[in-house]
Amino acid sequence: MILLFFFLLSFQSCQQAPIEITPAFYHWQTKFDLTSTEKKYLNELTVQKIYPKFFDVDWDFTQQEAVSKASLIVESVLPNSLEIVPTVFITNRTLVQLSEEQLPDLAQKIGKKLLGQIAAFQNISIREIQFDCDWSKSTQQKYFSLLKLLRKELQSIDIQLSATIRLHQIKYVAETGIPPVERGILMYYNMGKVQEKGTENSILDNQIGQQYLAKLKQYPLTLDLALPLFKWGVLFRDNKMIKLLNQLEEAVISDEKRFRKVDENHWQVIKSTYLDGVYLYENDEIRIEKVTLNELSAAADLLAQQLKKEDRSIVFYHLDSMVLKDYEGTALNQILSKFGTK
Amino acid sequence: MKKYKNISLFGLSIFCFLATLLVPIKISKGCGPYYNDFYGYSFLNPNIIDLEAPKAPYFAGFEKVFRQIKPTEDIQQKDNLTEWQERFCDGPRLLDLQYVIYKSPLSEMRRLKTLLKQKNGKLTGQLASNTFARHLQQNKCEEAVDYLIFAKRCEPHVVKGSSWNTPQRDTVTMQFLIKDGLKAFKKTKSHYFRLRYVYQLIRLAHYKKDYRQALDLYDDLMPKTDNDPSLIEDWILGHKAGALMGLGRNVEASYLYSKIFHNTPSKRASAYRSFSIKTDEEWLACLKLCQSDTERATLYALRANDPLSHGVEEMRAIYEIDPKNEHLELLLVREIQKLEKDLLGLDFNKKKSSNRRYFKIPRKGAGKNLLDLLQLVLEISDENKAETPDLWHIAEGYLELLGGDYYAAKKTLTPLKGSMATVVLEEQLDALIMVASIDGLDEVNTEMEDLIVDYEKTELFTKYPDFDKFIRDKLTQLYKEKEYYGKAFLEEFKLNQLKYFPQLEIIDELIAICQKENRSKLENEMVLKKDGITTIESDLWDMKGTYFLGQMQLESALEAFRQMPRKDRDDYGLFNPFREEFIDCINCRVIDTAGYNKTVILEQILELEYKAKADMEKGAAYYYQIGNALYNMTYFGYEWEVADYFRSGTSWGGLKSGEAVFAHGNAPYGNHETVNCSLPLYYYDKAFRLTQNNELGARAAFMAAKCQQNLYFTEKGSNYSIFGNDIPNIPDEYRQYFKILKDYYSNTAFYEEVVEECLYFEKYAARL
Repeated sequence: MILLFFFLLSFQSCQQAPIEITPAFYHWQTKFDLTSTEKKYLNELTVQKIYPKFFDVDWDFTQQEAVSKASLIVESVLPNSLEIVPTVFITNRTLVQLSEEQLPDLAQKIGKKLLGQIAAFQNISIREIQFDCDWSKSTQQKYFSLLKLLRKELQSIDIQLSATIRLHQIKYVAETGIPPVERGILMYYNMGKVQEKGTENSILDNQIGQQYLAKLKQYPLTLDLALPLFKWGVLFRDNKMIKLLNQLEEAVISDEKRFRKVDENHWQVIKSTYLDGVYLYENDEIRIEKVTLNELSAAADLLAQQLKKEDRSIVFYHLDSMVLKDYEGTALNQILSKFGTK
Repeated sequence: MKKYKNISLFGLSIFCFLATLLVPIKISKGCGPYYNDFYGYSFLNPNIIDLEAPKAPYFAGFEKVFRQIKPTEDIQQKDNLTEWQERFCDGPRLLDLQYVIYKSPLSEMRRLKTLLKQKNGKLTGQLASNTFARHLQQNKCEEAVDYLIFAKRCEPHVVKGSSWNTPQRDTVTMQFLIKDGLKAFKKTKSHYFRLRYVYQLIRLAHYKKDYRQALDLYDDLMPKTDNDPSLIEDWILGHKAGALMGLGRNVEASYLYSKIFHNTPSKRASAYRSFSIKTDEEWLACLKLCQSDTERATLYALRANDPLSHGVEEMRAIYEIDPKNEHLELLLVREIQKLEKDLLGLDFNKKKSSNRRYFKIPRKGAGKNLLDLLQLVLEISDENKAETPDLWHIAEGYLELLGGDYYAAKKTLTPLKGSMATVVLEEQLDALIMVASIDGLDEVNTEMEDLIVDYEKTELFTKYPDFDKFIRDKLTQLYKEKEYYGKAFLEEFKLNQLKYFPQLEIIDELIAICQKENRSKLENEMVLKKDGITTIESDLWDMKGTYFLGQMQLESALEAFRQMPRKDRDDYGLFNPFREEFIDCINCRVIDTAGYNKTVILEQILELEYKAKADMEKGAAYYYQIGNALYNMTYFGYEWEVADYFRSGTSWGGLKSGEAVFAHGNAPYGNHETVNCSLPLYYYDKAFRLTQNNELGARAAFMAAKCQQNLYFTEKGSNYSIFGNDIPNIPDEYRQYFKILKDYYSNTAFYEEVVEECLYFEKYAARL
């Protein structure tokens, strides 16, 4: 009996500690006013973290300066059990246009605006701020300098910085570098060439994704993971991709007087018409791209194998009742369970 | 009543901007971000339509125009000041108005108000010499000063702020101001100032986000003003539209924005951006709000303004509503410009693959778009109801041309000559007829070539800079089709670019042109030098001879060089390749007195060979000299310039490809390097075998070994790498002469010397 006890004890000591995951959502809308559906998902998935996008930073070509856009308006009170991770999206073209000398001023502006907006989330735990930027080799130095300057700007609050990491930044890490932050978050989506006519699904294609994951375990930052829950219509005119129609529902283009279904994912406009503020011309083509649960589940299987065994947040993009209605809470919980225990 | 001036300073600014594009009348050269690397042709002169401010964006797109002419607030300010100046009978200076209205502090205005009540009050400070302040004082303009005081009280509450800092509004004070303003409005007699009070009040309500109040104020106060037309009305409309948008009434708001778009140049860009229709139902509702055909047409024009729109649909709608509408012809020009990019010169555009790859041009539906537009143009052209019928006639011909039917185009365009309503249209017509003629060329003959030169001498050719590349690209394609490769080359490249790798077919054709008695005008342009007398024939013979030298075909080279007049032969360089050099050094050329032109060098080599054959005793030394001359003329020798015009160090990296021609950005046929050392090896071998002199034998064997080593470097699959300092591992079959040198000549003085100086050999000797 004693032997058996020691045997079991030794067996247990050989096992790795279970990976703890923190379910989370990105919130990418400009108004923070959670609907009952959204709250239901937060409960069902026992979400403990939300990553609200506080604002975008973009380049204004008219004013020739970096501007903030789409600032978050907070209209919903969050339970203080939730943690929020303020997120700022910085367009790469801003970095392309900015000079090194302009970086301190931009860092100051971003820092000041962030601190001002954080004040709106009273009594909510904030331990991390995230910066989202698809930096390139040419903008790497400026982006990393900006992150260092932002750390100084935000030193008045005890905070970790994190940055989004795209698949190409994992594969070509030597060229694109590692951002000077405490954590990264792997964005496992937008991996295909959306502008190409022949692309089937640019949002999520595990065959493409797989090609970028070989060096994932060697990536030096602790990585959280972002998974897609959205769809869009890709609008082509004269063979050229001209617009993304966010969250485009097939039902919206089911009117046979205006649209003709070409195949499973493709529609043709047969009569010029407005569609959610965009004027479509006869012969325009629309490709609908969406993330199915099957694909998402396959992605989870793949990533669970490839990621380092460490605790992490699994963040769904994004919290929006229009998006969520395509995904059952139980199914999302199953996806989460592939990565560890909550 | 004064007529409100639609052509404002903004308009003038736009005009000046466009004027900078048009003077000295460069007709194309592209505009907009996508033109940076797009390669195409444009022959539409924007001057063919009336270039007033409202229309400018159609040519460059709003973003471009407003990026150039900024900031719009300055323009609004100027418009406003001009209106004040007119209101005060052009008395005050603009700068003085600007100070009082925009810069003077509230306290100064209050002092001015006090002065108005005094009999002999004196203006002080900045106002002392201000013509506007004096006017206000002298004429006791109390209502004006009261209004200015009120406006300055409102100003801090309507600051827009930046994107980084949204100002906090003091809505309580703003509401007090609205109350005060209402009282002042009722008290004020001047409708000019009543209207401005309305503006201030509605703006306050809008900025404090009380949209309902803003609309109520509009409905209540606007009927109570009876002013002359003023730009302030559109400013007020802008705030009303903003309030409607705030209340989610985007259709009504969009209608108002379309009115602002049409009437107020300084607000046009923001009105365009704010215009927001989401569904077909909203569009119809918006159309219903319009009170005139012009307003309805403006809605279509706004929609068509999207750079990615298919304008034909909107053009048709506009034409049906209002055939003479100003937007129609602007859209026509814009649509033709798009099709020009797609289709003009598509057969011979030398960058059509990169256009397709990077810009997706031509658009897939360009052909259909052309047919749709042509159909509409034909209808409008036939009906003759448009504002400028001539423009539609020209468009018809040009579209036929873009469709590839040059004959139909000429047939449509030529009879129009002399009948155009304006000089600009007449000139445009001439340009398009010329484009059609060039595009339709399908024969190569003297008549055609003379015609091209005549075209190049016209004023049109200078005015429309794309003619140059249009003609060159067309002729390049035509000459290639008809197998005139020399002419095709000169249309596409400069003669010097042939030197990287001379092509015999091209050279022979051009030599034949040089020797022709009756050259066409274009042929003269091709082969005559700047003096207008001398041809490029000697250059071509030099190229031909150099080509043969590069191939180590000595007799053929000499034959070519001898075709060159003796007087010209020294012009192509003097060299001495006969020096003995054991270490390769391509930069070690020594210019001494004994320099020979290429003809003489070849004659000497042939003479040496003759002497070698005739004199067995000295034959080895002669062969050795020939070997030296030939080796030094290769890629590895110091006199490489005898057999080549351009040597690239980077070619080293490609030697092991086994090729002698390497890619180079400026070289249409690649860059040829004289890398083959077989012929010098042949002569060194002969020298080595023939000599009785051990020292000469050692030298010949060493040079032969070098040739063999180079042959290995240039063999396909060689493992030699230019990177790193490792001694190349040369296979035995390429080390025969090194072995001979070691086995038979190790007791020579040369051997001692070479082992010391040549690191490679030292290593090989150690291994052997």
